[in-house]
Amino acid sequence: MSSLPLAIRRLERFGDHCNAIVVKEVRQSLKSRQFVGTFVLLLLVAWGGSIFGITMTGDSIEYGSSAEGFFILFFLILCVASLVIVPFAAFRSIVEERAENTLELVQITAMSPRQIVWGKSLSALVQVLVYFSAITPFIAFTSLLPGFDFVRTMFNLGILLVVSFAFSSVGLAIGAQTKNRISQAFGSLGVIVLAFIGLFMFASFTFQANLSLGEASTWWGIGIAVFFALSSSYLCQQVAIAQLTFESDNRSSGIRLTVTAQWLIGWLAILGYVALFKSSFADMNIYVMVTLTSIFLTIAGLFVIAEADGLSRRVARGLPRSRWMRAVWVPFLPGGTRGLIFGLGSIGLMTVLAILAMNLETKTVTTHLHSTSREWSAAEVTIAYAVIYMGAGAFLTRLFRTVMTNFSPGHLIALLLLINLLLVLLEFLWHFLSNFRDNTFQPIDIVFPIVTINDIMEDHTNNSLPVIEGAIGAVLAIAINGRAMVRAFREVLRNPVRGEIELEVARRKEAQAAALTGMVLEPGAATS
Amino acid sequence: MSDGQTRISTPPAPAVASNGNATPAIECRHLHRYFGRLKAVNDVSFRAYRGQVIGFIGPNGAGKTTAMRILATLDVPTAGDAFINGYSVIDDPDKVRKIVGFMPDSFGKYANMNVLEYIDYFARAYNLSPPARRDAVERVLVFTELKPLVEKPVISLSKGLSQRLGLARTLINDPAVLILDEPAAGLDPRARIELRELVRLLARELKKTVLISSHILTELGEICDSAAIIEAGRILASGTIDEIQQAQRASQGRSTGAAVCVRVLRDVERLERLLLEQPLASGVTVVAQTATFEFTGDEAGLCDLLRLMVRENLDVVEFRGRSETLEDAFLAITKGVTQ
Repeated sequence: MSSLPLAIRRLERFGDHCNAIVVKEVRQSLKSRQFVGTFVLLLLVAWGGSIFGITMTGDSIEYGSSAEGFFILFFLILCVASLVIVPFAAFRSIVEERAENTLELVQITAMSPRQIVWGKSLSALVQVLVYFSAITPFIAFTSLLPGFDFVRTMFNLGILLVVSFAFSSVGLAIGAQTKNRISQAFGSLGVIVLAFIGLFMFASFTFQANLSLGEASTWWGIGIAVFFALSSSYLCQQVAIAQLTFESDNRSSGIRLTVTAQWLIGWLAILGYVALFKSSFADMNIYVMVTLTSIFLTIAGLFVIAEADGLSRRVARGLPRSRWMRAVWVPFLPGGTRGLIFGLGSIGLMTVLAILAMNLETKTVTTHLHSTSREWSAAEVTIAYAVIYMGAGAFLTRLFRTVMTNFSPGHLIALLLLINLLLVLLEFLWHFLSNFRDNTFQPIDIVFPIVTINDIMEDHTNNSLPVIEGAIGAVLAIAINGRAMVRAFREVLRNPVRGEIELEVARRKEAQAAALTGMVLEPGAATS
Repeated sequence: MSDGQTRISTPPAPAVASNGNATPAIECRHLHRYFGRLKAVNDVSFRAYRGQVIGFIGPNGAGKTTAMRILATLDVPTAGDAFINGYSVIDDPDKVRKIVGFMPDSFGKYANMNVLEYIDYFARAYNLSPPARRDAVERVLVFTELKPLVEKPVISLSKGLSQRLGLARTLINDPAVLILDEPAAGLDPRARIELRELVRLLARELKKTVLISSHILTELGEICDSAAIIEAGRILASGTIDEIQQAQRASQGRSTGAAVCVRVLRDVERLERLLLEQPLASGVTVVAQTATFEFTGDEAGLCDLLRLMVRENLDVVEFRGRSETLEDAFLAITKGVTQ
């Protein structure tokens, strides 16, 4: 037997156990003009670049470190394919499936949304690997030149693979969000712009960072960066999965758990890095971490806060039996108010970690919970803003959901921005009418977060005023949602346990069947 | 009726169907689906049992597709629930998906894919084991007579072949319930006849329950055991075709007898006078040389009436019973209301 049919048969056997979408997309790709065209173009550009490079370098190709220049060329070509073309193809694949009504056909099969999204992600990865294989001969050529660094080359290619996977996940998440032509157009533009920004950032970092791979701290940093890339791609996949999940199912817990794991592990890793490799943790670093995490948690929080309250029977059926476990599980369950509990809980935990970080810096035996530094004040105000935005968001969601059933995170964020804009205009008007020329912090300035933080950092205030204002605002934001949060807790704690729900459903079915006055479509039965 | 629609009274559903099946294959319980203020589906309830073919009839925008999408777990009802073999489409969509095959009115086809790859893909999507998958692909390709076309790209298929491909995809997991939304739309007469035969075969031989919507009512009348007429989101009438027609006639105050057409060569006025004198004839209408009326007597009475016409020297050239079609019932029941 010749080896080719045998290889094909083995490949088919392997395909039998692969995700259906991976098999389908690989089959389609091999026949697709776009894929074949990109592959050929990649080869031609790399080949042309090699010829041009050899011609330009002449005899000096034998000396110095000519491998570096050639590697940069091939790596950039691979970057364009992996960071722009593949993520855009991933975005298009889900958008086209929706536009062509083929996505619905897949959704009603036995494939779960997770399998669909993973199938798309793995297909993108397969495409990247095919492009890698196209460039491999050129990398092999580079390895023959002086100055070739095998470890660094493998490191760069490995990182490119991870980043490409993350970019494709972003493309999929954006693609899953777009449901009409307008959003598709904006989504396409967004993916291309993000891909090119990412390409330039990644390429410039790769060639300019000059990482010393022999140091343990470098690998710690690389580990954090890789974790961030992989966890972000997982988060994007969760967002895409949520979009494909049936309405009565749980669309939210996956996102909440991923968000928590991402920021928490990120913080612990950074704290570990400081504890192991640095002597102190500067206040500025804490402030930056608090600000970035607060923004991240506020945005993620607003997305889950905009959900409708209430648990579907399907979700309630899967709750743990133990009341304690349910209490722990509350912030991760679907529902807008539980989204607020999730957001506040996350912010609270982050504050604890920030205090821990502050004590890492001081290296003192006694722990203190407060610092008078401006960075710490700015961090406190930032935390207060996060609480205020989420509290106001939860309140507005409950208000608007009574009249608008399709209230979405987009609506909520737009509404909050509009309200904030109006408050800022009010602040400007007040300054204008009071003919105020002094640039010290005024109580009304609290409505403008950028001004407030800037005033704290520039020492335009004694710091206590914005902190007190922020604290009052945060307490109010929690107070207006207090009853709703208690209700959200009780709904989960009082929910009948699994067996009781099954019984209840069966009882309800029987009662409905008995009371049903619907039609019976049955030959012989008096029906209409 | 308060909404001005012709509604036919609805008796309570029996706990167990007359055919002995306790669990309906399809059951809608007070199904509602609102899009803002639009009530696309408004309190729709019906049941269907194993092996039945049910026609879902209604004008454009009546709510047929919305109701079918809910049954196929592509949409969630605003209120009420629907069950497939006892599984709720809200609580157990994953179980419902394993036993339902849905063929939408228009479905996309993948580029760069042939018929075999297309069917194989959906077989994989149902997580069938490799041998079961190969068997299922073979079975549906033979059933839909697509086997000779396995290498043909799916985007190059004609409308009729595409519908067959859609049916093959719908059947790949051997579902107990089939939901076919306008499967005959755009098909030529031959393809329609072929599709009709396939649906008959599915219900009678393979005991599938088929919910089918179509605008071609003559065809639905031929393949359906029963029908539900829907307009503006509400079920206006449902039951077997005969029951719908009889109930419709009754609701209009017409006799429930057979419609009869008589054509004479001349003296149609004399024929009309004669019919008006007959106690068993009612609703006499005359168009050209043809008189149509409702006859409530038996067949012997009909013979007597023909004999009387001959005795009266009427030149009868045609005397036939005119059966009412589903189309007639549909036109009589629906008012052309759109939302």
